[in-house]
Amino acid sequence: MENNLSSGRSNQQSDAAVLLGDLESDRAGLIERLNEPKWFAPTYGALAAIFISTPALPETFNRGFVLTSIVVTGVLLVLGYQWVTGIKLLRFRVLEGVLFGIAILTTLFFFSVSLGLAASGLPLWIVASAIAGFLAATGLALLGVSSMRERVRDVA
Amino acid sequence: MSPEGAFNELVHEPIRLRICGLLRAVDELDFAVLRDTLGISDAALSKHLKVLATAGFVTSKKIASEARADARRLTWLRLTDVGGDVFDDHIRALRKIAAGTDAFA
Repeated sequence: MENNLSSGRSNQQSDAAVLLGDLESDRAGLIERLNEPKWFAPTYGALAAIFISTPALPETFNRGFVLTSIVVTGVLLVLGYQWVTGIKLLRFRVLEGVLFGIAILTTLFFFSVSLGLAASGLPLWIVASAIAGFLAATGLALLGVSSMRERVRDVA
Repeated sequence: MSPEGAFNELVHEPIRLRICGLLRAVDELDFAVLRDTLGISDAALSKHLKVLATAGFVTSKKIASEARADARRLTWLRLTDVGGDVFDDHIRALRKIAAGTDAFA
């Protein structure tokens, strides 16, 4: 039977502490991996910005195709993140769910602003709405990744 | 689950302990990431995973990856609910030992 705890109480204590330290060090490595794809949050922000900009497209443009492409790209973005990091965090915590909800609402808000700007004959101002949406979505994505890192760090 | 902790010899082997520790932190982990983090060979890792899988602590899911030129599969590993409970109990026991508050002589 394997037992890598030495005999003697103080040796057992230090052996146990070393093992626990190894586990912490491994978790730190996973957190580094989650940090590696620096492109994730800005790409997510860019998708939001593209969506917010769609009211500026000409009437003849196939907006449905653009919106479908954005959704598909969003899904591929998440899959790509999992593939690059080799880590799947499939369950959302409450905080991550709230951040995701806020991201959706914020994007829809700026989209409605863009619609209003387009209807008011101010299509160039849609750029400002898209930039604001990009910054908000990128910031929320960064918070989401940070929350996932904390989840890995806080394991028993 | 035992609030006092429960030492488990199978999980206590250092590599298997680290495997469980890594899988406990995430929902699924790629085999290659596990191998690279532990710094062991594919064969050695597979041997330990087989022991854990036989005990019902770990499951795996193989997915064909078109990104690989040799059509090798990606393998996603997951700690089962039983494996998670056993690992948590073992960690509680280890913490008690480390703190010197255990019943071990």
